[in-house]
Amino acid sequence: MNAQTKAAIVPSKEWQVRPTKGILRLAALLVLSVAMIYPILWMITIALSSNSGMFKVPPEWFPREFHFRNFIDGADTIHFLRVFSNSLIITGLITLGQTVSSLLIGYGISRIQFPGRRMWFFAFLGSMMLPQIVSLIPVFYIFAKLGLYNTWWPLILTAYFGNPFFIFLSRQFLSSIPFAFDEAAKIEGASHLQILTRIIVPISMPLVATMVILAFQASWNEYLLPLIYLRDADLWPLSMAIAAFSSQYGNTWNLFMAANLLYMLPVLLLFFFSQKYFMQGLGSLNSAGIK
Amino acid sequence: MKKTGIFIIAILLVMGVLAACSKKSNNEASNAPSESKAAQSDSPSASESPKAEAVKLTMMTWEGPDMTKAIQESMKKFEDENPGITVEVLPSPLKDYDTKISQLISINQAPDVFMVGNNIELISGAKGQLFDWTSKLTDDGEFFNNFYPGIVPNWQADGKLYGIPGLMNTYGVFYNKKLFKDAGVTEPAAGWTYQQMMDAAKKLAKKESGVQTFGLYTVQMADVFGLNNYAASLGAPFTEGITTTSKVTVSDKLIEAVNLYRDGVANNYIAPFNTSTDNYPNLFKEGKVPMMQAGQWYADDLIRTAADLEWGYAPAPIVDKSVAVYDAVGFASPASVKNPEAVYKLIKYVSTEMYESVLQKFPVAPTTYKPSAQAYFDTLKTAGHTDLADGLDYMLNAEIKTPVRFMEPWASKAQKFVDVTFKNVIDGKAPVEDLKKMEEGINEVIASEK
Repeated sequence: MNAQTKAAIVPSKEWQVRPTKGILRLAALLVLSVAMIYPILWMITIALSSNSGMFKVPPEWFPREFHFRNFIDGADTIHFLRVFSNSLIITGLITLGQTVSSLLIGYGISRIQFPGRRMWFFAFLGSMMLPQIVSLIPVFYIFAKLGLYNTWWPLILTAYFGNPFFIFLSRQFLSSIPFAFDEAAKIEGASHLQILTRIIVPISMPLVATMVILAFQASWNEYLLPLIYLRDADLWPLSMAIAAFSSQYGNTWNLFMAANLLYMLPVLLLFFFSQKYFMQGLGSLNSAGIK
Repeated sequence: MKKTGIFIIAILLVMGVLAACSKKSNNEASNAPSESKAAQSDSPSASESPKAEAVKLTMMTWEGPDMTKAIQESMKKFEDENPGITVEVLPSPLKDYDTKISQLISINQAPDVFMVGNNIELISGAKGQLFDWTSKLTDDGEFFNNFYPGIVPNWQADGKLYGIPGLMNTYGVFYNKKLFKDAGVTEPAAGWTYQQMMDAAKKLAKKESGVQTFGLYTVQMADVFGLNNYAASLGAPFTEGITTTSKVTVSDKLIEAVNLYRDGVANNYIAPFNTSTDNYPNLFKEGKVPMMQAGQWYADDLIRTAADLEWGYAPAPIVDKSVAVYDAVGFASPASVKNPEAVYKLIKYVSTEMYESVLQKFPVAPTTYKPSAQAYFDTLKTAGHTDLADGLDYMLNAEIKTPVRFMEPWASKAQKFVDVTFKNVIDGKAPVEDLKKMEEGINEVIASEK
């Protein structure tokens, strides 16, 4: 047994000193975990059920039937491969655009001294307060006039002009990095782009991971913009295909849940593998105030 | 590692650019017929021209994937019958469908034909956004004379027709035959009254092992427009009409209906509204609900997935005259449509022949065009539910039709009074006298908007 394994099975100091507090904390975590996990478990149960065996009263908490065929049928119904590829391309480009452009703007605002930088920062911050629905019609009109209706461009292009929340996040995170790094690099003859890419970005991975996860999750689930801009079903992303599953007269819930599980999977996996960076990135919001 | 990351990003960029560009090309291709349509607008329509030019029409539907597929298949027949006209069916999710259509109309990209609800058809039509088909009422009078009573007039705004109704939803009562038999209650039939429904609910309600089973599960009776049927049956409706309302009236008859519901809830024979209403159909399928007032579309699921359940169907009860809720969906076209004659052919086809074939596979609702409804009724009868077919026909023929919601532009403002005051009264949290406050509030909204 190595030292790491041994440390893992030895109760913590707090557990030894205050066992009641430990038990209470464990119970609270257990309840919260069930609350979080149960909806997914219920989705799995429905996804594996026959259409006539769903919504039993009282409900079944665990799957008793295993109709794995539902996953194939659900995927076929929404042309899964096509819409999944569409979603991957759209989301990938949006994530790239939002992350890079927000990082660039955040770097400029936090580390380059120029007149009006605070004004620019508050202008970006103020645009966060504007509800999406307000700008929907004018922006839609502009893209339509540019002949970009029924293409992916309106969804992707705007991502390359920065995301207000990410700009705020970048500015906060980058402000906490000592300026001594920049000064040392400048003495060595580095440009701003070199400082950003070779010094700032490598030590800002939690920030980058946070922006990637949030951008990926938001664009993966974006529904209203694709609905408005995309007419042809072969351009649809997954979010629209999933929504199109139900009609005014009901739904085949088992296939719908099976398709939904496939839909959720990429975001869950992304979060699972980068949650450490994600928590650090969000933590940066607490560590730096608006300076 | 760094090189791999850059490589992946580059690949994504190239794929995206290529894909988006190729879609643009597709879009240009799909827009091409629109240009040709524009070119044709000065010349006689495709159907009238001796040398018919190719016309490509687009039609948007909010139906699910399976039904959309059946609609697409049905279009082949239309194309065969109308050489030179091709139809592209564009599915769209139901959620936020109205937002999408209004955006498309605003940039002149709306499909030639699209599904629409009665309220949106009336509001958009009055704004001049939809094509005016009024002349067809006389030019094609025989067709319009064959709709169920009251259907076409209630698709007209100020006498103008901005679309053609397709399907009509009705809200009768599904009942469990076994539970009726066990409780010794006579099965309901067309023309039964609210009092008979309440008496049956009392006998069917029971409490076993601490579990309360109600006699009647209804969403309609917890809604002012549902209870309006009771008042309208006695000649004292809540709203004056379906398409226009200059004032609402909380009559003694409406209050009588509210009390009927409240008594039922208080005495445990009507399921209270706060019970999970979405689960009523599932409870019914499980054989645990004696009576469920609900839309006819649940029959499709019951026929397909609850073969062992012995169920029957009766039209909604009445007090005096026969009443049915008017809840129709249909098809409309943008005002800027380029080929009106070809579009009219399509719109007429989808509201009649298309449904005749589609509803055989998906028997969800009767058509508003009487001759076409027969195919749907025959499907129900073949499935062993003559009572359902007859019940729906009875309601479609009802002499009085009532609105399913407010249909005018002020609807959302007025609805707030219903959502707050009426729900509180229904839930027993406020006295029935408060309904007069709701009446005053709604009438003030109407007066301020007129």
